[in-house]
Amino acid sequence: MTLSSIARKNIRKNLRQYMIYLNSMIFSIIIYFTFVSLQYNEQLLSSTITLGKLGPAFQAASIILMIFAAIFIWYSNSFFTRKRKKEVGLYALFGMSRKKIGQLLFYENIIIGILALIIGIAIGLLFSKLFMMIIFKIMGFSIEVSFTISNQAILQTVAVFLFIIFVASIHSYRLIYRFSLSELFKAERKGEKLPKSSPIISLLAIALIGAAYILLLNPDDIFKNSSVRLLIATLLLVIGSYLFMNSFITYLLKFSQRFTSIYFKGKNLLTVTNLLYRIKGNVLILTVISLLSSVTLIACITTYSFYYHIDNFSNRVTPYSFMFNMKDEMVNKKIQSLIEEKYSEELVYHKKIEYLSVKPDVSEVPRVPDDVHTMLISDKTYQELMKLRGVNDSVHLKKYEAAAFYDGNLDGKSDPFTGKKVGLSANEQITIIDYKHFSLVNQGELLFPLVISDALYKELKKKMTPEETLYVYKTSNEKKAKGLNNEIKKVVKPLRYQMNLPIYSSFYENYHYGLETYGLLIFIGGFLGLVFLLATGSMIYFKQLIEATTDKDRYKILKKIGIPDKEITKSVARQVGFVFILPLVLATCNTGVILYVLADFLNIQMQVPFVTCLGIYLLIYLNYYWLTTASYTKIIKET
Amino acid sequence: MESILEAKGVNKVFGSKRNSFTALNDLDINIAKGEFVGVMGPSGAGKSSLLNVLSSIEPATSGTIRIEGTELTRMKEDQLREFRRDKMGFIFQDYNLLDTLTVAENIILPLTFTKTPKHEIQKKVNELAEMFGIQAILEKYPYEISGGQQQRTAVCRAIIGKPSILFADEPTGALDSKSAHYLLQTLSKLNDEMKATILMVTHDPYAASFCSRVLFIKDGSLYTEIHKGDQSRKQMFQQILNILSTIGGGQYDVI
Repeated sequence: MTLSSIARKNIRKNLRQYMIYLNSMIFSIIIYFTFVSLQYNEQLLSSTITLGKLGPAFQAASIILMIFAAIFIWYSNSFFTRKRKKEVGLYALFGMSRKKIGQLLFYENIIIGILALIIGIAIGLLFSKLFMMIIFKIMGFSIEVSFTISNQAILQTVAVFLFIIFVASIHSYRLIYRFSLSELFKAERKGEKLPKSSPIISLLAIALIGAAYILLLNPDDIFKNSSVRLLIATLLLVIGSYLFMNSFITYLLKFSQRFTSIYFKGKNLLTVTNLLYRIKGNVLILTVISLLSSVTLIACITTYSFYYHIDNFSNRVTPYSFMFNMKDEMVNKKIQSLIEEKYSEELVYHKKIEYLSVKPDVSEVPRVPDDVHTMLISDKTYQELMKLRGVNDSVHLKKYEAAAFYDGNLDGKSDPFTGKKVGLSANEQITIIDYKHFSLVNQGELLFPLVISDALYKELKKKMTPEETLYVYKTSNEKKAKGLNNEIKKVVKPLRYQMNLPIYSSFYENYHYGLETYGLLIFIGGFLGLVFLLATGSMIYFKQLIEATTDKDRYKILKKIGIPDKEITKSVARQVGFVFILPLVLATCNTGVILYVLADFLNIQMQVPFVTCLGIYLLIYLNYYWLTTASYTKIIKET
Repeated sequence: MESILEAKGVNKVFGSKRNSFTALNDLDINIAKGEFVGVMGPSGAGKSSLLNVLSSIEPATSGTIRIEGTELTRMKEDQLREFRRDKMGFIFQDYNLLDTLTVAENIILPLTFTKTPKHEIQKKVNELAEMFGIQAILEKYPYEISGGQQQRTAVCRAIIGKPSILFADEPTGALDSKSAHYLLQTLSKLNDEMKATILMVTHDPYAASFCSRVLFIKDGSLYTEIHKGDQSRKQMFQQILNILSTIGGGQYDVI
């Protein structure tokens, strides 16, 4: 009998034990492979204009997934080897050499790993098609998804996981060297020491978390530099969470023991003591999970909010269905007639906006780059336009004063323009005195519109010729204007990159650009979120099952002295519930505060995405809870 | 005398039909209130099976078992457990204390599942701790105290619910002779002063000599029984040794 045949036999006979390990490996391989094959999918690459920009996001996400896979496999590997300590001890007792045992475990691991790799990639192939369909749906494409196999994705997955499997196998190989024979046979160490719990450190934990929240909620007060502030807040939050789990929870549990009339009631005694007994081993994992869950929730909710508000965004930065000035009368006429012919019924309003194109000194306005063209529009034209748009707004400008407009700034609340001066010539300066929170022109065409007084406009018009015209159209079916947009594009395209910088912008194009960008972002966010959620869930699951296995004897005693099954099951449910709820509560608090700040900054509503994402999160989390409780009870019941 | 435990025609068969092993063979046992009964016999005679079946931890294959007149063999598992909790106390060879609980918490554990008010629980713990000399270690954890102390804690836990009968399975098996002696003294004190009914399985003739009656089991059947009556403990001990030497197979246990 050779070693590898023993290894093979071991796997076949103990299939059930190996299944958990195998499954978690397959799980991480499927996830990684699916994602990577999306990254290399040619259909996706060729059909989106935005993917180029989001390439780094994809790259970063796949690295995160790789790290996740490594940690996850490592974790289940140690769960698996721990379960087999006794078996390994027996081999050693029967006189098998350490090297041989090590080799045995090594081969086993390699076999399992390669098996997982094959199964994982096979299932991943199917999944990647499913996810492609989802991705196209979110991005608003209607393309038949073909079944493709990406060699590059397979190669990358195989390379990454062979490496991980190899390292994990070496870890298994080392098992026999890490423990002495008696340690292999000994049950888990008895009487874990309680972590120290002082009311002072507990208060400190709460104070640190509170301080982090205050820092986040009052951005202007304490630190001017926002990145330093964020860094400090994050640090406070991490340390605070750790202390919270370590000290505060221990203190809370110990404190509850003082209320003997409750503490002595049924399962409370069992639940509290069991939790206390295990708390030390759980502190780190609970902290990590609460932080990981916070990040997941924030990422998902933010990307979802963008996607959710895509109509608002588009309307905000693209007020007109079509806006153009091709700097060529013939072409302008042609586009005009195209629109008016096709959309005569859907036309809401249209306007010719006269403006002066200038290149002033904008060094005082940091948000306006040098290559941007400043559009000067007269107050009169502005009033007419506002009337058409149905906006009740007016400006009161003296001669050398101007009004600026929202320019797509992410920071939706602040006013970056008022008070700034724009130099028209050496001795002529206009001061921006008003800022409007809406766009005057469609964004993305490198225009900086300013409304100036009629008097100044007249004067400048004489000096600077010629006056130019911007054509704007608003139609009622702008989202579906694909056909018209394509027709106009045919006209526009040959002129697009001429020196005189023609202008063409359509709502349809901007809207779909946003749909693609945020669609991809929400996909990446959602995918990572799901993976993290499954990972955290599985981590708690494994940890609890390890505890169930080591605590089995304890439940046997309870059974013998006549504690009813019902009570034991209830106690387990509470105990597991506590472990599940703790990180969730902390994560929800963190998420709530950070999203509140973020929503305020971006000036968007996040309630619906918040509730939706949290709902989905809770649902999956709850399932993990049920699964864990069920497996836990099953383990302690089998004798 | 009022009878606490009545067992009639108890059989216990392990295994399937083809490959079966009869552990208990048509046993009749009666234990009256306030008796301290020992069960002895060679290894494999069915001592432990007897205790497990009488205490309903394992179901009997046939026969009837009554405790204080209640028929056990027809009860469902959950009912049985409740009955066990309320009417029986258990002491095991390996103490079976929960190392997550302090000594005091271990003792009160069975009561937390009943509706006993907390001041009464605390009063009982203090009484028992005083009686068994473990007041000083009430707040310690099981892994911090000696085996003898652990077993006395287990005895406290077994009797805190005032059970009708106390089952002890080799309670001195894991103790050194001094601790064993101390424990046996407390058990007989319990029997004398509180009129506790005890059934103790043991292979140790010294332990059995503390009993008021000793049953000898061989191959699953009752071989014989002796009563202490007015004998001294020494005489009882001698008598037990004599029977063990005739019972055969038991000499390994004696020497």
